[in-house]
Amino acid sequence: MNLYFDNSATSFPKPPEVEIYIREYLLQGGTYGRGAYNRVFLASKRVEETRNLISNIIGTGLNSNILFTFNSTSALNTVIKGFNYKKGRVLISPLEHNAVCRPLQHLKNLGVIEFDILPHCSDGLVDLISSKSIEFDQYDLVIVNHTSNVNGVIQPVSEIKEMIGSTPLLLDASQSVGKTEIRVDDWSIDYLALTAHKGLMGPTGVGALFVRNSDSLSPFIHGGTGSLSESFEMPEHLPDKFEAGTPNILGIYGLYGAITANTERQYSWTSFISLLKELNKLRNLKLLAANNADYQSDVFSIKPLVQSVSDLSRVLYQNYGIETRSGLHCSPLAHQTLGTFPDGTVRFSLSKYHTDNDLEFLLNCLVKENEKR
Amino acid sequence: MKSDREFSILLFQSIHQVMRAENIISKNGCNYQIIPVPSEYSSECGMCIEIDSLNTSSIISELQKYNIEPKVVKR
Repeated sequence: MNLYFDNSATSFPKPPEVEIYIREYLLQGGTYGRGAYNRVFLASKRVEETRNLISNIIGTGLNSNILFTFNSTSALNTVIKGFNYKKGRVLISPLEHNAVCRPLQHLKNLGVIEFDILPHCSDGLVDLISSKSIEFDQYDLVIVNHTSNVNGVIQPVSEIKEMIGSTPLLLDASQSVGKTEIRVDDWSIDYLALTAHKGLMGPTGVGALFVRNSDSLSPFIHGGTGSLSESFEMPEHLPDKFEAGTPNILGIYGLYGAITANTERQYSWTSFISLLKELNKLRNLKLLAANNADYQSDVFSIKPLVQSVSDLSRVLYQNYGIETRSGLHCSPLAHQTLGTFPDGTVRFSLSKYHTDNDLEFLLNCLVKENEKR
Repeated sequence: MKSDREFSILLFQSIHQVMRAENIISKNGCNYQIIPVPSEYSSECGMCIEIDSLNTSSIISELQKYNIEPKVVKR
């Protein structure tokens, strides 16, 4: 039985191929570029193959515009802190993570920008009708969290981009990549940040940033690239402009294994939606999920009405071995939007390795706890 | 004994470009070698691709299809 329900924090278990490719790199060695012997060639080739796999997953033909980072947070910081703000205004979606809110607040404290929040429905879904009156050309940048790490709401990215027009869109795909369809080119996404260790089921310490127009950003990190070494200036060409320092090659090998494993989801979506419907009936627990199941990802939260979130999380682990995360999930804005601030919720996030039996067990445990109160 | 064969060296902006080019050249079945960037052409510490001079124009036109424009030097 798989009782690990904290895959939004980091996925577990990993596909076996992750270990296989990490082991391959440990036995083989070699850095990325900066030499011409076979070990370097093999490592560099694997890095580039992984870059190509990522470009396929997010739906872009611009594979040179995929930049390796260390996680989503460093990718988001690269855009937020490297952007050339002219109007000093940023618009964000209502379920943002602190990986977006903290760098924005930092810039606000410096007097560089102000930021506003898009109108939304009760579950945090961007309200496209109310948003129509916004003058988007007054904003430098719009930032949208594709999938909430609190209630699993998937934002209608294509419609949002269509609505905001030429204002650049930064999509935080931390929770959606590997789970939800992403079509960067078709949707005209300007920037996209992702991480390897959640939906893609790779190792920690690797992320990526997609940048459509590299002239729009200054590098976040400066350093050696193995190219234009005679100059103190960073190269202007991609991906080197944003890839200073040795990348996490070990992690990239693991990510290659995770992606090529092509793991299929083992539980049925119908069973998951049925689980949410059953949880919604429990009188002592409030379910936090999408109002419309079409916008639901495999993440949801519960707010216990007669005990604290930490107590419920503790009981689930101690009595049943169910691993969850309680509190604010680094997303105070999302919890403010959902009315669960400052206590937060208990979050459940699934993996492709969960089965219908795991979901049934989870439901039975929550029903049992609900009846005790 | 010195070989009579002439070689061209393809120099690229980045390792990313080298790997893209290598992939295309290898699929086309042309002989090539990955070698360190000769110091007479660049101070780079990375790699470049050495090809038979006779194949230069066909390889270059193939790479151009993918927007890869290496600098070519004869040896």
